[in-house]
Amino acid sequence: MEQNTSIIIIGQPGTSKTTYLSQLVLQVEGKKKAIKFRNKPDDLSVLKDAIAQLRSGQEVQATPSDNNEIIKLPLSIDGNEVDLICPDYAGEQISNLLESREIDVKWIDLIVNSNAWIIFVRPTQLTVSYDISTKSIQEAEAVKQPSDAEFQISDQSNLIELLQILRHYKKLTVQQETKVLKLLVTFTCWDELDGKDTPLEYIQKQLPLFYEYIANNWNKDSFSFAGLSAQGGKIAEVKENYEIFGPEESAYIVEQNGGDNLFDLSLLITKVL
Amino acid sequence: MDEIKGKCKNPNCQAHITGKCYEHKDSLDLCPNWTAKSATTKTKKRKSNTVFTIAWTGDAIAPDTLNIISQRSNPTIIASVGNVEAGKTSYFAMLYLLLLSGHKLEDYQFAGSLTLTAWDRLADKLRYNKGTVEFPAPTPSNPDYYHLLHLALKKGSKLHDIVLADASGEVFKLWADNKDDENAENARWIHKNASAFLLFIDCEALETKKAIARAEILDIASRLVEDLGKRPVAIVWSKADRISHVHDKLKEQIKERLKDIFQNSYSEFEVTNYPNIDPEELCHENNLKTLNWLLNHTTQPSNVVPELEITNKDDIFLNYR
Repeated sequence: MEQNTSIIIIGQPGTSKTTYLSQLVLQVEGKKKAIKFRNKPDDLSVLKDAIAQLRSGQEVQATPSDNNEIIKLPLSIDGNEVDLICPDYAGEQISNLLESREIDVKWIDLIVNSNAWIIFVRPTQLTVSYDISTKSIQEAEAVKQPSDAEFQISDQSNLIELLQILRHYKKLTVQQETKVLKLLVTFTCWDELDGKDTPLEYIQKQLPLFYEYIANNWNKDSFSFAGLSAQGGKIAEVKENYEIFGPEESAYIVEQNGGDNLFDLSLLITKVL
Repeated sequence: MDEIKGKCKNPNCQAHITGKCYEHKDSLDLCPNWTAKSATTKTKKRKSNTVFTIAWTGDAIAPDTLNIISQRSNPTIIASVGNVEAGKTSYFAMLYLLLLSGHKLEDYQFAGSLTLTAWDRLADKLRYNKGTVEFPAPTPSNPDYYHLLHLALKKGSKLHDIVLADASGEVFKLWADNKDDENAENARWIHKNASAFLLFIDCEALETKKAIARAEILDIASRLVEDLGKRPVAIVWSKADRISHVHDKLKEQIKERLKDIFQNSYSEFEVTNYPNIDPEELCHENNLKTLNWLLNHTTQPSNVVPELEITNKDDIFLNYR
């Protein structure tokens, strides 16, 4: 029997994974999109609270860091059988992976068996730092740098390292560009940005070394970028729409080259098929 | 090597890997910057046999751990050579900062690194973290201190594993005076194994110490040329924002001597870490141009990199490619 396509979603805590998955479930249950469950997911209880919060027009609360459950959604999209897997619901294990450099064997299995990776990055969580090559001390002081910050690895190095670790366990070599395994870097809470840049322009300007790393390891047809607003905007602005149309109708995707907001969350999945 | 549990406040210190104190204390426990870390949690996790440690640390590597790269390709080692505080380490710090901010090598593209944490620790010294820029502290002068940084670069589709090697100016001075000095082992290793060199000439030192600085530079250059073969040398006039303050005669004498010493296998570059405008040639362009030139003029990697014999090809931790 042919295996289902296995897509894993990975992101640090606070990158909107729970909101995305909850809204996706609501869209699937709404049956308006070309996406459905192949069979009822084994356990959706971990998303139950988040869905209830969205339905009552509230922001989804942060997932407790000790929640290590794996969410698996068995989906059918345009005839493709897809397992959408979020192995690290709380995002804490990602932090652990990068800080203590330890990886659970369950993760290794998921990586080995995966066909595509969707990485969630929230631009407003990234640190802006100023250095001697880009700003004078006067300019840096004007934007008030942290006074006594401890060393932290930069966001770009962290993101590159995350992909290096995933590639290592998937046994993808640097020598050969990756074609089969698809990568989608998704910039979440897209509505928090000013909207001037497209997702592609955003990564090229704000995370240029991360972009270069991806472009030199994946075939040009095997990686892409997108913007995602799983909440659809600030909760106060979308609350009324949530109540009238349902929360899932506000969530949208932005293609890597921009364009209209697309109110279909399954597009993230079809991009990596 | 046993795992060393702990953390040093000094971001340049590699004691968590090497076990050697940056401040030269006999034991890490005697260093005020060192905090030993409890291993309780990790030990508990490992007992379950479900948690594995990732095969590389992200920190700088040493010759005995070079095998993590050499098992996939024979890396090209590029070494920085020069006197104390000539800007060798700051050059590397600026190199990574420039790459992070989107500046590029002309002919090579970034495809990864196994020492990202070490690169970032260096680059962090040139960030305005505490309202000022500290610059990297002088590299430790222990004869067994190695600080090797890795870049995976691609030219077209071909992979080039590059290892940039750093050692202290004090060690190079000892080596220049006596190539067999027992405290210059790392300088000898670098000289023997590197495929190309960055030789730093400190403009600020020439401005203030004049002929003394000139003699120190030429001593190192004369030692470097021994058994150099066809290995290229990039002469880096560092802190070049001060070069107009160096006496013309001193510059002229140095340039003439360098030509005598290195014949045609070298090129000169001026770099600074103090840009006045962006982009500025001395800072934003020449740093990367220097490395690009060296890479284009390096014929083949040295063959003496220690190889790790892999007996179990399925071992996920030995199988990094």
